[in-house]
Amino acid sequence: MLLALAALLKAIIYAAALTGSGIALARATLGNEVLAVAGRAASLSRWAGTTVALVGLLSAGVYGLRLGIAWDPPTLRWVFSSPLGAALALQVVGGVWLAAGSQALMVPIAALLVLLSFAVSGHAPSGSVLAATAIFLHVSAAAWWIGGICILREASRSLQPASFSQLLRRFSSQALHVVAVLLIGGSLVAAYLLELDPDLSRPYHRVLLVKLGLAFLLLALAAFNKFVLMPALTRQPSALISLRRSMASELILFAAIAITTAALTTKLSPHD
Amino acid sequence: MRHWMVAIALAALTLVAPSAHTHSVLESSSPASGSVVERSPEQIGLSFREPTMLTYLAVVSTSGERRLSFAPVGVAEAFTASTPELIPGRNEVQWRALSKDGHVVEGSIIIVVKPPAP
Repeated sequence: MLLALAALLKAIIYAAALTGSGIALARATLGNEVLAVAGRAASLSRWAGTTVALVGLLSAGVYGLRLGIAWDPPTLRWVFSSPLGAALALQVVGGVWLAAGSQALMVPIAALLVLLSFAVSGHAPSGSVLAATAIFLHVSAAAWWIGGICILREASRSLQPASFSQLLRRFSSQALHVVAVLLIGGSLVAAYLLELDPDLSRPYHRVLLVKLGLAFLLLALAAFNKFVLMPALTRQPSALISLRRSMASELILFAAIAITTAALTTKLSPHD
Repeated sequence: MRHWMVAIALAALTLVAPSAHTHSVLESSSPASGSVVERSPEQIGLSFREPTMLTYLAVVSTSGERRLSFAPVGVAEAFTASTPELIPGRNEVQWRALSKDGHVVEGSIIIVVKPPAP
């Protein structure tokens, strides 16, 4: 029961952290057209930050129950000075900062704090600084992608077609580099965890394969958007509806990946 | 481009080289699990495969669950609970710990204390 609750909370944190942080990062890179939807995007980012902070606190409580800790100062000091404690603290502090979000220039720093929480605790970060760096780059790239999609969906409703097309082109151009970072980071982490020896008799490896399958679908959908729907926008305005549906599908796939990753990192070990 | 590919390949090799990144596992205990002892041991020792933070230790017997204090508090490979005062019969010593990779690990050992001679 507590294990299932821990996995659920982790999935919520993944989704909220990547959405909130991603909007902050994408806002910083996508240029002036974003300003037209900045209010709505910032509002979503603030809600996501609030969720990260609250669910982070709840997760700390669930970890305490699962560990059966004596709630005395020496034990709490040790638990919260561990990598797990550091990760939870980064989520709470970064989440509150994202939720406050008044200083636009500082918000990306809050976003990076939240994303850093995924690189300080877990299978890979505990074993190698390089693996921790790869995870940070992987989740930061995924966050930027999710944040960019959220901004694009808002922009598709409120921007003039010419401005929206310009924003879309800029996103598409930056996404090439970001997806490269996402794939390289993910491949390095997978290589580290599986020791270049995938074994489908192990549950961890099978669930990781499911995650890879979902990621492949996501990339296929992104390629369809870039090479089919984006060019169609200039010829037929109705392609915008298809593009909006496709972006919604991308967000659903990201949610599925977050749930799969939460199950993977809560219940399974690559060595079981 | 070629330099990038070489850098990525080197990074992959560097990452894969160290392979000691498993959950903490109990390596041994004293008395060993399954032991049948004449009287309650003076202490119970737990040794883990890698530095671990033991957070919970309790004995479950027919008289219920009783929490045991242990030392050290914090990260270590070996922990000791002094004077566990096990009762005659089956005693299950349950433990929970936070492993190096941030995961909750748990397990138990069984110690049977022989009933006193009539």
